[in-house]
Amino acid sequence: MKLTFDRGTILIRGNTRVPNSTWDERSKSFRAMAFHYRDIIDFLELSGFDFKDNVLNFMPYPKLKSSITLRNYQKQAIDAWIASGKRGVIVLPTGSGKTIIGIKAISLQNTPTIVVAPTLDLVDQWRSRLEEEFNVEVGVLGGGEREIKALTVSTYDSAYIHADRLGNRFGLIIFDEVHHLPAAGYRNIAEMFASPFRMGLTATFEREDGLHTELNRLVGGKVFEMMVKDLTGLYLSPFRLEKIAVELTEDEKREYAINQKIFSNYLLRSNLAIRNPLDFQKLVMRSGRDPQARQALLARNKARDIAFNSISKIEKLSEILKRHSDGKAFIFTEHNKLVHSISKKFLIPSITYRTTGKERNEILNRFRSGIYKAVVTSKVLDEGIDVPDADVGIILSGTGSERAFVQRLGRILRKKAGKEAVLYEIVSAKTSETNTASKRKRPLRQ
Amino acid sequence: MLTNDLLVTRTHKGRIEPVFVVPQDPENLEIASSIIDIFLANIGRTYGELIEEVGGLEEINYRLIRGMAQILERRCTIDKDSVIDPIAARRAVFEESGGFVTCEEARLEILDRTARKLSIKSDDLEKALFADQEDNLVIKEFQTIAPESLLWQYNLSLAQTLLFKATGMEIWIEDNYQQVFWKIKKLGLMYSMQDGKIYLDGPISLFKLTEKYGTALAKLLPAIIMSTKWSLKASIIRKTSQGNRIYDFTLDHTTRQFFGKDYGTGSIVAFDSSIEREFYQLSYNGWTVRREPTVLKAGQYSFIPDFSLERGDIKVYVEIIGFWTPDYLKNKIQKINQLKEKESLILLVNRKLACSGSEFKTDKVIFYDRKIPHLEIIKVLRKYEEKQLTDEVAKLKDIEISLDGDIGIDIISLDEAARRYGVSMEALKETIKNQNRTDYLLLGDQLIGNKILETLHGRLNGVKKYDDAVKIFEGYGIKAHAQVLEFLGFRVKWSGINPENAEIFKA
Repeated sequence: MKLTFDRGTILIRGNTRVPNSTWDERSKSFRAMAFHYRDIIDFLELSGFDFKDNVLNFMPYPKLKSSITLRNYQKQAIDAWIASGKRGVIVLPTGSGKTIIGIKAISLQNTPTIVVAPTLDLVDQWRSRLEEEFNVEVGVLGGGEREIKALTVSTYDSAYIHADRLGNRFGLIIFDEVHHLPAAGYRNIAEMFASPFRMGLTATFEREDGLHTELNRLVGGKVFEMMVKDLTGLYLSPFRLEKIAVELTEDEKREYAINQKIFSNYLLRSNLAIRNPLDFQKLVMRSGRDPQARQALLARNKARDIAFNSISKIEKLSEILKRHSDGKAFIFTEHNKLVHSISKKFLIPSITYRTTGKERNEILNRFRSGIYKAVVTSKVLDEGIDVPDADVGIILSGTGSERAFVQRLGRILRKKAGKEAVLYEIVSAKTSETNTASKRKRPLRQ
Repeated sequence: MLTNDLLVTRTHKGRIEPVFVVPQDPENLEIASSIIDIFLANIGRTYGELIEEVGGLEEINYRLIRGMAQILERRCTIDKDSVIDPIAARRAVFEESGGFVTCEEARLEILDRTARKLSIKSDDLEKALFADQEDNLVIKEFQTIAPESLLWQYNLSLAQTLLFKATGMEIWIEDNYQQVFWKIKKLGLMYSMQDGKIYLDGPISLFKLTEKYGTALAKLLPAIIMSTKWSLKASIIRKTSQGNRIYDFTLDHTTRQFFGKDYGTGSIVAFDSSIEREFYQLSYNGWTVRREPTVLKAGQYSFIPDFSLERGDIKVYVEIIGFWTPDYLKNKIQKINQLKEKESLILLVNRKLACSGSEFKTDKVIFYDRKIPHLEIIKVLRKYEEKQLTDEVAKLKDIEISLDGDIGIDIISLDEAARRYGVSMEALKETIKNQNRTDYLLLGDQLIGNKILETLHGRLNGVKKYDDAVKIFEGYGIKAHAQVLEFLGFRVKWSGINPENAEIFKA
């Protein structure tokens, strides 16, 4: 019997069917999804079959050793992962050093490894951390780069596109922000890689759509978890939350009411209610063929825009900045438009998803060293990017996503002696946004 | 290809189809030219302005307008326009501000100070600050396009966008095999073939319905519709309020008018080598030459021979091999040996292009030195002709040849009869000769009844002019004039080349 890798699957030439395999008439052989590789090998070894295994194909690689030291809970996490057969998901709050756990796993396993991360920023950050720790050149897939090395970092998108080619080149696969993995397309990454060892890292295991149960099959389930409240004060600095409601200006109020009415009238007329994201998705689909639905949708977006981008918020922001003129402030907002107008008005450096890695790093470095005292950014920094400590956080707008909020909190929750962080949240009063804001804070009540 | 939100489809009873625009429709042409005009008018202006103006047309049909705009945007060169590099401008300004400003006076003060340091105008500095923001980018160039072509491209993009969601696709093509199979391979697709149809998906399709190969299938579409005749049937996954559903998407060459005249030409691919061109231009004793005539299945591989030579029902495939090594040839022949059609395949191998010296012996290979070995090929073809003849004669031997169906008819055309028996005319003639029939006589390609020959003999009595004799023959539908005359004992006396002056006489 002979096992080879074929574009995200394992070809089994021989006369015995192994578990999880199916006969493929096209290739006249048995075939299995690549992620069953470890089970198949285990089965063949256990049953004493004679077989030749040509599945994994590693490039020559240097010894991958790092002398990084772990904090107590990090050690517990990695022990739990090892105990689960070097598979599984580790859940830790943002800012608690998930990257370090990944580095330790690579060093323990000493095998070619691919790290999959959702954003180019995270990819960049993993690259520089890995290069630092292992003193090797790290390959990158995504953002125009396409180089494969024994240690490679990839975006989810690139890993999805290249899974057929790369699925047998790595012994260990690490999914950063693993809650992205269960999405229908990305799932293929886990399935098309043969890597016998798997690690998932996230601050938010659960998904609103319930698909996190897929992670059991794809990565190996949750093996370790620690919550924000377990870490606060111990490793992360405590913080104070201050919620500020601002009134829309009279013009904005009028404009807001008009648009909101178009939207609610449409719902009423067509007997629709928006109770959850699925209802909303239905409306979006309907807007494709129904011009009135489209108009309603545009009006709703307009109303949201008004609430999110209210001039009153800008004024409040100005007030807060004055109050903390000696502090270091990070300002978050959902909309790039708002990022740019704040940047222009207050002359604060801005980072959006379009900012190049080079400029972004320069801005963050200058923020760290104190040349810049404030940075305004859109959701691009939601996940993972190493942000220098700030003592003031200001949320100017945002969606009702719990995840986004936790990640944003993490930006300023970094431990520093005697520091109390303040997080301001500025929302528009009497708009649909007040609703969004209370939904956003749910994880803190646990 | 378009973004998914711009896909327009119609579903009906489990079927789905893109809503194509009719490129010949004057109204569509007008919409297309107005959007092209907007792009032309916005050269030198900002991307934000362009998008806003395009947005003004969206009332007509926003998905059509945005779809066409997406196609046109790819024809634009868009770049920033500022007196200094925006990144440098920002760095200078933020450095100067140190942290942040909270009033307008301080803001202007900092901008002025920075502008002086950079020796530019304060206004220019402020403009440069965000000149690299998408809305502020400038349309530097736009490569225009005819309205009709835009509609063609839109339709193709629409079909491709629908295919993004395909889990698999069955295709049939009349020609253009080489390009289609080359692409199938390059795109990492897998196929299986049955009854001339090619079913396409990928390795993991075996385990689950997946859209993973949808993009590859979409990229294959242009090669498919390049064929002169083609059809496809794809399974499309669609999200509906009741969960995912599978729809059938079918399309064939009768929709040609949607995609424009660049497609459906059967693809005129250049010859790989001058030797191939030479092969194609030679004539082979009544055999017809076709390029890349079909795709053959060799085990799990496909095999597209360079040429076929066809004569009636016989097809002989020809593969021309350039540089080679004995191992390469061995592999090739191994592959060929898995073909059902292996008996009728000739390899033409250039002896001089051997990459290593050793000889190679097989009856399938004709070696040549510089030119196509025309005579040798003809010789081989003759063998096929002879073999076919023997086979058919043998086949007819076991069957009682019956011309019963033709009783009462005095003249039987052999080509018709041969078609009826599924043999060549030569084989039928050969068989009839062997049968020594007395009631009919074989003259040319016709069997002529004895009675009619007698009648003819009588009618020719007194006829002098050759032309008049021919007229009589034609009245009966006889084609082999000379043979019949000769059989009846006449000779022709020619005077010059004009048949009008020719006369016949009894020998």
